[in-house]
Amino acid sequence: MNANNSIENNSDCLADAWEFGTEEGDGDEYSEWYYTNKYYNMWCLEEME
Amino acid sequence: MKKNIYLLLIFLSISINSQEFKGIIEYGKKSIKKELSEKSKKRKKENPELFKKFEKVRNAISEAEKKLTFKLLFKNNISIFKVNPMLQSDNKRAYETAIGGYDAGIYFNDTSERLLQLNAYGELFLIKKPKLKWIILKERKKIGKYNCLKATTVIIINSKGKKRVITAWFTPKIPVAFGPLGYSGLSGLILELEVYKKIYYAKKITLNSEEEIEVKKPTKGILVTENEFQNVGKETMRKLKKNNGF
Repeated sequence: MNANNSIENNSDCLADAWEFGTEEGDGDEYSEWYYTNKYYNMWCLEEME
Repeated sequence: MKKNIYLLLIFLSISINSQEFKGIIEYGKKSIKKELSEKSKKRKKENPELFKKFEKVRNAISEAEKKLTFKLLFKNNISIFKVNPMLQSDNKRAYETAIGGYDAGIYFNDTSERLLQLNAYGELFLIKKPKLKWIILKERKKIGKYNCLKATTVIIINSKGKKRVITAWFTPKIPVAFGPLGYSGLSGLILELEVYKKIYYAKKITLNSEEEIEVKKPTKGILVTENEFQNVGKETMRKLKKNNGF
């Protein structure tokens, strides 16, 4: 996932990834970004396959 | 006679100074079970399906991270801390589930600086970390055969200046000022470190073994201060939010 791209597919799961990432990161921007990506790549893309 | 004593003292001094104090410490990682946050409590009521999904993901991470191991290598006044890469080749999926954002970094410490080499936002960074101020508390506990003292420090975790308390248990019996994730500056080795919801704990301590220890300072990456790195994060998250309509 790239900050410059909006993702059209599976946008509900991306919103979940954002929610998960911001909660896990707890204010630390890098951790928020990391966990949003991790959730999206590991659990949203898996759902799409 | 006097001359001989002087020569002996000079010899002893050279001999002591040339002795290396080196070691390899293996650390594990585990999660701390904390109370549900207010957000999680709300989600549990309003969206139980998503709540369950998040809990499932968190449990998967907690289980997988039990298999993660890290190595702290030190030689005299320099150290390096990094994740053990063997696991990655064993099982890529388990490794990716287990590893946390800052776990994949390489942490270098010497007497004058703390550096973190980290792949973030698609770039390689070399982050200069600020010096830590520790407060040593009254609490004591035994970890393995070592009597440990408790210490805390406060770090700034984001561009807005949010603070977080970090707790370390260290032993003066092993007089090196190092620990996991580049935490350093105490009068003994950190055997246990509590960072937010995770604990890094020493599993195996090897001191002065015959094994050759190489501690190389990382040099590649965009050199930034911690605050500059946090500002890159702020801008990346702003763009991500805007481009996806959150």
